Amino acid sequence: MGARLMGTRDRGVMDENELRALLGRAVAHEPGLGPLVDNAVRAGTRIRRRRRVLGVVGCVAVVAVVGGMVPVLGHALAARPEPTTAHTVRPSPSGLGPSLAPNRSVTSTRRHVSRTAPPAVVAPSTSAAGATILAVDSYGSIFTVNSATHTTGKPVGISGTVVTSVVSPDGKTMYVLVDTNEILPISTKTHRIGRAIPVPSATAIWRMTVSPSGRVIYLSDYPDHQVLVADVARRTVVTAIPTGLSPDQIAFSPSGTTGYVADTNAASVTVFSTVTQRVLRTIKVGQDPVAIVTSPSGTVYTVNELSGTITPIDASTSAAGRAIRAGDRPQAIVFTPSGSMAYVASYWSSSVTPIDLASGRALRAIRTASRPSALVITPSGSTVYVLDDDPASVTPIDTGTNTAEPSVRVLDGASEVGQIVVTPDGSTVVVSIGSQLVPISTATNQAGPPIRLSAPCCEQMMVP
Amino acid sequence: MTAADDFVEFATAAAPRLRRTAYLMCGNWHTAEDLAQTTLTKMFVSWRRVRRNDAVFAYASRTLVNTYIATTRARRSSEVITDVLPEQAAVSDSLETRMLVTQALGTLAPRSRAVVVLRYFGDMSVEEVAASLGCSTGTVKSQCARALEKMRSTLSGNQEDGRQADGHQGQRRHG
Repeated sequence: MGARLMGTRDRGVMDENELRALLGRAVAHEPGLGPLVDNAVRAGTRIRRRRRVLGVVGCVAVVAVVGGMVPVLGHALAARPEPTTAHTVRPSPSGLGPSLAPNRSVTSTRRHVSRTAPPAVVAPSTSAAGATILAVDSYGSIFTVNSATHTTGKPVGISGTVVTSVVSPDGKTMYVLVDTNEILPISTKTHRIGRAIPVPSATAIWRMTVSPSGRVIYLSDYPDHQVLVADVARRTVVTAIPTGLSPDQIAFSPSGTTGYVADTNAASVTVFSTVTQRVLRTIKVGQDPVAIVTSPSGTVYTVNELSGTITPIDASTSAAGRAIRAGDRPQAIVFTPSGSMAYVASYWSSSVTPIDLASGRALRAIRTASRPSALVITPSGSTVYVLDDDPASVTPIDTGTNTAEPSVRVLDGASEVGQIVVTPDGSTVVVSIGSQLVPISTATNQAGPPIRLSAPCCEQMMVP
Repeated sequence: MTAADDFVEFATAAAPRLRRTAYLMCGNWHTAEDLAQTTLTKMFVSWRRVRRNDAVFAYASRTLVNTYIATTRARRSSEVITDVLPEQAAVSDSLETRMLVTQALGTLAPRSRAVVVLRYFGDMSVEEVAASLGCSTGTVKSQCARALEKMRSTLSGNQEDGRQADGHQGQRRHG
């Protein structure tokens, strides 16, 4: 027994100061500290991302672009028709055209009056008749916005809270996963709700991905490390594909016969057959593939957050190629239309890494205003728009010179950003931040007045 | 400086202390690291709100205590508290101290243990401890007194007395 403690024992007393000293000595020989700050940032980032997905922060995504329709936010908004219904049209001082703003004085006629929320999102598109846009808010209401008339259709009220949604590849059906454990198929044309597809646990599903054929919906069951396969025609979950840890994004080979699941908490991609729904193999990639995207040239790329690399996967052989360095904590990737170049948002490096895919070589990183969390490329491939988190801004990058243009501050004071989308005609980039949307003209790189959503969150916006 | 940089700076500075605090609460360095990491994760998630506070470390302590108490609730029976000191042939003074102190702390209920650690290791005032645990200052004072008494009896080798004077019921009441 140590002398001091013996003394304590002998006296049978211990005052507060002695206890202080004892506690201090008790931690004197501690083991080395693990990477807990790093781990905390990583886990916290993931939680925040998931919250965004679930709509706590609010998120917007254009999920489908259908041939034949040319969605034009700027053009559609510039039409300036008379406001007729639940939305008023305000002229925009920036010349971007009027924005659609929810008019709080108009009461919705939808069923769930207690949860009334104006359409959370608008993403007008145009066609001969003036195309409609679907906006799903987190309360499970689906609204339509006709871009030619700027009128909203009668909202389609659904019960339950939206977990996530997706549009089929043909653009005809929107699938909305609600927390009452069912997927509601909704016609993007008539907005009629079809018969629900029951699922075991909606909140475990992080993402829905429709197969290229449109016959199957893949449900990424993040906590249970599997992908559920829902048969659209039979309206049932038919099987589960076991994956690596925490499946999230899914990409497909150009032929559509092979699916690639990014196992975000592992260092692997689970390859499965979209015909048999069986696992074909597991490919080793970098640690934490947080994104997986098929390039226009048909190669599948994973973005490996922890390794700071991207890994190409040959879709014909399902073999991984040599990883390419892509900055610190890369998050997202876009490709030029030719498939020759990739741009990777490297969050921790506060830069975008251009990568020459032919040589597999990263070019000199392009500094962004702050931490890039997402990016989009215009359809022409001329400009990459990078959404910077913390504080929120958008940095345009000229892909001809690979240089950043002056970044656009969006919503001064806002820090946490949601998503960024570009209209298929490339005229406008839209950013979601909290409960607001900020349109940015790609011609002038000027932000228009924000579209304030009265719903706390928009789940998704879709161009059917 | 961005919020993320800000967080890393705070977390890097706070991590060792948080882990030590956690160790004194749970008595195990592995669990302590987990607790500290979970605490920092929670703080990162709400960092933009948290960083506006003046007392960020106090916030961290509160989060740590809540995390610790939640884990003890989740697996109450996992920690075996023994009154018997393991036989040690030749141990250094520091190792012995560590063992004795953690053993003495181990005889306390989770909340009392948190009170003692925050008050005497974290050097928090009675008011700060009360705020961290969401209880009255009177509760903190009485828990401190009882815990001190109990640790005294444990450290002085009167384990039998220690059991008799077990403050668990009292601590539960305040829990």
